[in-house]
Amino acid sequence: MPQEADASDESLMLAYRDGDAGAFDRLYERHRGGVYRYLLRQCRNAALAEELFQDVWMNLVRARASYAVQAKFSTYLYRIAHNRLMDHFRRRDALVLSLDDENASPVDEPVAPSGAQPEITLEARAQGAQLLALLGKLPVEQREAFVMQQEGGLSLEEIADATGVSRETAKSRLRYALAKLREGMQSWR
Amino acid sequence: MALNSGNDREHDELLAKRYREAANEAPPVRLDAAIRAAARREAGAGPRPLSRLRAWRVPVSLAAVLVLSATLVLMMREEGTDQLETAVEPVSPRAVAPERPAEPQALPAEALTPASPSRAPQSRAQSPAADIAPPAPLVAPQVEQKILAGNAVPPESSPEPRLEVAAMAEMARPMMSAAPAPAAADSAAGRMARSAPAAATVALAAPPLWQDLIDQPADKWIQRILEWQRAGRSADAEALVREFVRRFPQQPLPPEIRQP
Repeated sequence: MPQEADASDESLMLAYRDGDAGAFDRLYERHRGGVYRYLLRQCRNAALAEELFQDVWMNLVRARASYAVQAKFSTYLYRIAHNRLMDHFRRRDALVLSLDDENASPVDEPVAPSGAQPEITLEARAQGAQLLALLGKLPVEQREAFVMQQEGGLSLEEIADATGVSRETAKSRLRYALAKLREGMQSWR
Repeated sequence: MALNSGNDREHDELLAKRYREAANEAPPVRLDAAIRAAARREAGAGPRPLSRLRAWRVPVSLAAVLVLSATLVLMMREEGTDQLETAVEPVSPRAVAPERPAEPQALPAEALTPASPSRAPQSRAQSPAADIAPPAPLVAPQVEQKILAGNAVPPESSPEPRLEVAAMAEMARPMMSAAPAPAAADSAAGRMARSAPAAATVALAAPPLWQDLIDQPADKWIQRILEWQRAGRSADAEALVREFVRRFPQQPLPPEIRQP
């Protein structure tokens, strides 16, 4: 069944649940970059991010039979990604990437953007690199809240839903993240 | 270019813009292809496991019904063979006498007249004198008709036993109709009497041809046999002879009685 160009994520997922493989392609195209970057920012390892990324989408594919519209699709998708990430973190619990450790140092160096964007000025590119570096220094939860907002377009309620915390907790994490990023970028303001 | 502030506490437009410009990583193309291919495979794999179960439900049900039916038929056949080999214990009609409708003490005159071809078997079953009316060549169909007619059910019986009897008679029909001898019919009736008391009550509630002779001496039986033979009711007479021989095994039959 062909889908309209502006079909909602939810209707595309329902169409895929009912056997429309083309609907999945559309959904994947919309969210592949955001989910990948979310995982990449959180685990900060490209190879691991790819592995987790594949797991997230395969979990979605396998769970399609039971899919029902209970929330925004992006919330549903980022919840899957968050859960997969938490599984990964639990497995490597011995490492310093504890969710409770605010001072945990990054395992890998922050991932720099790969593709060159000619239209962006050198100054803007430098600001972007600075921002990503600051982001990499944020605690996992605060970074997660910021990236979910930017990549998934999730609201506070949706971030709270996807990460399994209260709205106030999500709000607090996001505020802290923004405050630290603003502070780090103060020299550019 | 300097970053400007002036945003709310949960959103910063300029930070968002810088982030969007900086964050442009994407998954490798090979990963895209692998995920899309897996998704297509899953979508093209047909129904999901739940639907697969649903699709198998009908064939599995049909197979189960067939197996159960075949098993039941085989069991009934085996039981029928056993009954043919073992002697059938006669059930005393006195035991079911209270459930039986009032029976005529003497045969109506019309019952003794020769058989009329126009009389339908169903009307026989509905008539109180049906059991002494001209019978079918074999006794087995008689028993079957009595059961199927449902008139033999006493008034106090509930509808459920009647249905049960009809169902049992339906199941027993192939075997009973295939039985060449009356013994087979008796065996089938006896088997049903043992397996379902209600069915036995119903089956025995229909008075046999020799109902009024049960307490009579042998000479009365002989007299009745001769009467029926003279009246051309050979099938009834033969059935009566068989019952006579069973009841009075030591009693010799007169030479004028034709033995079946």
